[in-house]
Amino acid sequence: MSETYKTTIPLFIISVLGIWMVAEYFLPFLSPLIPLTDMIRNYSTILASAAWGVGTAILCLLHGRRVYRQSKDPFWGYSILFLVSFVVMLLLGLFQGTTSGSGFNWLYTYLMAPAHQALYSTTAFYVTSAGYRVFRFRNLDASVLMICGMFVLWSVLPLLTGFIPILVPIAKWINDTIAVAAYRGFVMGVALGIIGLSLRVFLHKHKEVLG
Amino acid sequence: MSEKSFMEKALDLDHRIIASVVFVIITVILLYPISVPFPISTYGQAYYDFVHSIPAGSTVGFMMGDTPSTKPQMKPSTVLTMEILWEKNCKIIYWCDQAISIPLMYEYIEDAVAKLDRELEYGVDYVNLGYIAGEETGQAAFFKDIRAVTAGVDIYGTNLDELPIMDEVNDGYDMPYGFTNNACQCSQPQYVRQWQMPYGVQLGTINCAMDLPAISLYLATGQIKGTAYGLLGSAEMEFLTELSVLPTVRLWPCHLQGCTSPYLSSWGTSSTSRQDQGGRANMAVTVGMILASWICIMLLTLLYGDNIVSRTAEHIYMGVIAAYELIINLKFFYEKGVLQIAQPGGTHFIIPVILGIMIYFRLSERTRWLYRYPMAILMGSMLGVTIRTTVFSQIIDQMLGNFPPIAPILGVPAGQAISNLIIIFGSLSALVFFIFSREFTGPERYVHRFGRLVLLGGFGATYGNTVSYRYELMAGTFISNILRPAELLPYSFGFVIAVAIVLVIAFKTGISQWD
Repeated sequence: MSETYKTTIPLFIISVLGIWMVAEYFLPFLSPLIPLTDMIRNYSTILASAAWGVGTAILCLLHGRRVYRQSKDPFWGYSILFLVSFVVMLLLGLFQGTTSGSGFNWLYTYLMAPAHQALYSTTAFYVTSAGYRVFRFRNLDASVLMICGMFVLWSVLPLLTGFIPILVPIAKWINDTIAVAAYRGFVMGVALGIIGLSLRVFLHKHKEVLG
Repeated sequence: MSEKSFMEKALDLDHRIIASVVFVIITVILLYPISVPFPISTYGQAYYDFVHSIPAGSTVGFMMGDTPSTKPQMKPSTVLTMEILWEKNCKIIYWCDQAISIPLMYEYIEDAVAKLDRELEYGVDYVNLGYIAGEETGQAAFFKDIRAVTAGVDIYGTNLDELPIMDEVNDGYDMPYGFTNNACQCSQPQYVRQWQMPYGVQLGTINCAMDLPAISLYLATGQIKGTAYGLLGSAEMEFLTELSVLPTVRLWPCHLQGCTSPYLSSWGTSSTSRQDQGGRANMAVTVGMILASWICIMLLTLLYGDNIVSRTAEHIYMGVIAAYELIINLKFFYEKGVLQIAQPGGTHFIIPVILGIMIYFRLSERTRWLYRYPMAILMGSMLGVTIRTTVFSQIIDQMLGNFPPIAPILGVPAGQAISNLIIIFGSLSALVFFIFSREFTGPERYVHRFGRLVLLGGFGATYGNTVSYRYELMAGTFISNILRPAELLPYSFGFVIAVAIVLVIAFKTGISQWD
């Protein structure tokens, strides 16, 4: 009985809602049900926003546990930093609001946004380092990867395109022909994969989705 | 033991040395930029033409999904697009699908409004509908019924019925032209699926540089009408709109990519203008800018291995961003869910509110199963809305892209016919590559092999664009957070020395390990 409540009914809800959403789109005679479908989609946006809190709560619990068991984790001190910055931002958001001029917005502008930029920008160094080591004419596959990569990269270097303008049409041909062919095959494959996976979920063949 | 060759030694070079060389080159080029000419790409021209083809007075939807990291490359083209649309008296409806984009949305709108010659009226010329949660499901719901998802109010809580711009705007059909500003390539197909395809919207996109190969197939089929990609797209827009102070040349200031002069001055010193706000604001801005440069320097030490300084900055960043996302999403939950219960006819909103609370039952082992009910509703609706339009936008439309008139073989120049043949056979062969359930041993193995080569070519193109994208990110970080404004440079360089001393002490005393 408990299995019915814990697994079967949730899986049944997924199947019914998923098939319903698809059917509503293709079958005009289901139009009287459209308001109900819209309502469920609207509920989904509200649920999605609520779901953010679970991830955050798990993160806080993890760091809280590290602080609590400080002797077992050499990095527990960093968790204090996490919790302090989390609480400060949370309190500012709750009591000062999220409007322009608030402390919440100040921390976004001068701490969160620059840190976001800096973290992503470090990848430039790693991409350079990886390209330095990996790109070489080892075999046909590696050569195709390298030639396409280099021409596209060169085409966005004004220092080169200013003096060798032929690079631009070559890179455009790669982007418009090779990349279109590759990504079209890729996208169709992914789309078929999404549909296949969805059908497996609808047919209860993929129960892991419930977590 | 054999001696390593020079080549082998060169290839074994420590990544820190490579990073140092890159760092020095970039800093020198940023401080002493040089100017070189550049050609306008067909993508840039097509995007510019698309923006100009929109009839005057049209209602345009503008989805803002930019992030702080992609702002340096996407802000200029975004703001210019807004300016052009407003110069044509278009009405713009803004919203965003990322919580992190909200402050950027305010900033871009303010900047574009400030640049115009005429006064714009909020609610008449534009409206900001704020953040819409739920990713693809949220967007599908939004295009189906804008008032239901926004609870009938804009980001400031004003009733949409009181805003003239929203008089005849109820769903995706009422915004015949649309723009998306996406920081990540995975979100463009969702707008093709949920907006362009079902509602026949003429869609233009503003992307970061690495997105181009991934959206080129949508450009080829006409599902996306034009794209401004990366800093190059921004520079081209500035050149084409004659806003650049160097109309025939482009600076090569930062790396291997390039920025335009107005971009540098507007982005790099954007916060300097805020210093004129008077005492307290001035101090807050100055302290903020010093903090921004310090947190960037702390995080960049990550390049020399995981260390005490980078870990400190990472954990502070994680705490702040976790709280930020939580606050924005819970605000959405409260305003669009909880508050609606008290509205006339809104009693049914008690259902999503209770289901939303049930998600938190996951935190206890005993009640964990209860969270499966709200998640089942989320998953069911998400899978349903995704696959129903995927069939058209990503399978049928892409197959049609392999046939005339999109890809003609006869009656066209030989070069175009060959390119079209490569697209047709290449895409089908690439699709064959994803068949894992059988081994290709017969003649069909050549199809499989060709598909692999085509995919590698496409990934190579993505690599080329990704490198330029990453360097653009780095240039933006350096210019806006570390090098500008010049009067704060001593604080930044002083902090660099302090960090270096701390790291040396940490490594020498064993507090932190050099990995």
